[in-house]
Amino acid sequence: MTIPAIPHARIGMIVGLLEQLNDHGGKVDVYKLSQALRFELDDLVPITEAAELLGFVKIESGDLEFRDLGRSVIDGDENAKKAIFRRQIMANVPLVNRIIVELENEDDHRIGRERILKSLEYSFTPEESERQLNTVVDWARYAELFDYDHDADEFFIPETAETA
Amino acid sequence: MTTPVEEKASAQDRTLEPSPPLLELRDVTKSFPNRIHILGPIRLTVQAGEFVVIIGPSGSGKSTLLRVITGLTEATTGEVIYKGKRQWGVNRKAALVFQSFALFPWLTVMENVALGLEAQGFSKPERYARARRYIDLVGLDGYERAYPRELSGGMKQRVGLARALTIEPELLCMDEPFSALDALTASNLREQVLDIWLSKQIVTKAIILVTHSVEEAVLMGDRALVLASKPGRILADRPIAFPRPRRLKSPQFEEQVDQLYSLIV
Repeated sequence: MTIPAIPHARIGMIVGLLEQLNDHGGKVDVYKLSQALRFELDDLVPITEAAELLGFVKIESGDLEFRDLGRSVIDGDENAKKAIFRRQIMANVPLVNRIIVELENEDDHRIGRERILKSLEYSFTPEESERQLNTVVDWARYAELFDYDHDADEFFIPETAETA
Repeated sequence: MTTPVEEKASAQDRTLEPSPPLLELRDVTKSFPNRIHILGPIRLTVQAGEFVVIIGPSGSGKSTLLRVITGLTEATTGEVIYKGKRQWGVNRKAALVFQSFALFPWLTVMENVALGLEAQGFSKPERYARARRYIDLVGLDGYERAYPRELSGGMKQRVGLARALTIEPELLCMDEPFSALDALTASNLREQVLDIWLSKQIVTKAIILVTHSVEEAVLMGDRALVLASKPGRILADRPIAFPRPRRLKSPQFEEQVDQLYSLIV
């Protein structure tokens, strides 16, 4: 089964985008926003796509507009934000779910990076697989779904995770 | 030797003012050994409860001013008074957040945050318990075991902030903390710092933030100090009094920004 790619956007940038959208009254032309922020459109677009994938905004004919959930993100405190991200990531990012399922199947809740990379062979180029995993780790850490051990090159579910 | 200023202060202590200001700079200057005069004289009072933003161009000595305030650098002349007492050396009640994050690449997030407590004689379990509290507060839970190279700039600066907060500073100084970040990440982190400050989740009594951005000052501060350069000195000291949350595009916001710009140019 091939896996859809997720846009490369860090969590802080996604939340920052929602805050900027709020400052612009809840609806803004993406091109104008990129000028106001002095952001290249190429850099801004993946962030808007990530916000759309997670159900926070809709994008229609070049305009970025809030969905209710997007407003909830900026209104909530850090724990509320994390809870919304957690729910939306689990609902919309198959790669995260695949990793969680595999982790739960292991007694020690750990799997090597190589195994996940191998499972992505039919979906992405090797370089893109690496980038997908790096972005996914950022999202999963923020949402406290799973973690990555850089010394052992393994994904794992920490005891404090919220997957249960 | 007793100067007239000290007499006045001690008289106030007894009669009018039961608690002195949190911070007072009395004609502070800073020159380098080669006699290049970079700062002052600066006269400044910061009260508990204030969020003070210092705006200045490069060369206005604003980073030096923060280092003098926190005691990392000694003033050449003048006095730094902290809660009514002359301050010598590093102020242990003050913390400084750096623009460049200043993290150790070989330590994890948790280890970087807990590091600030090591010098203070806490046991390891105490250090980690306290570090965990501030890691949670800045939204870094989930990243405890990550190394700095795995983090985005925004997350790195959260580590810098958590490390400063773990020592539970009364005075939090921030030296251009958002300058190294892209506009979106900076916007997110500014909101978070404001949330933490305004919701009174920390023991910190005052924040002094240095920036070159007038918009950032108007978004965050209760009061703006505008510095002139060469040597750095205070050009203006203005309250920023309109209510929060402040919207970037609101007329009040624009007006305040224009006013401050007119002082600079």
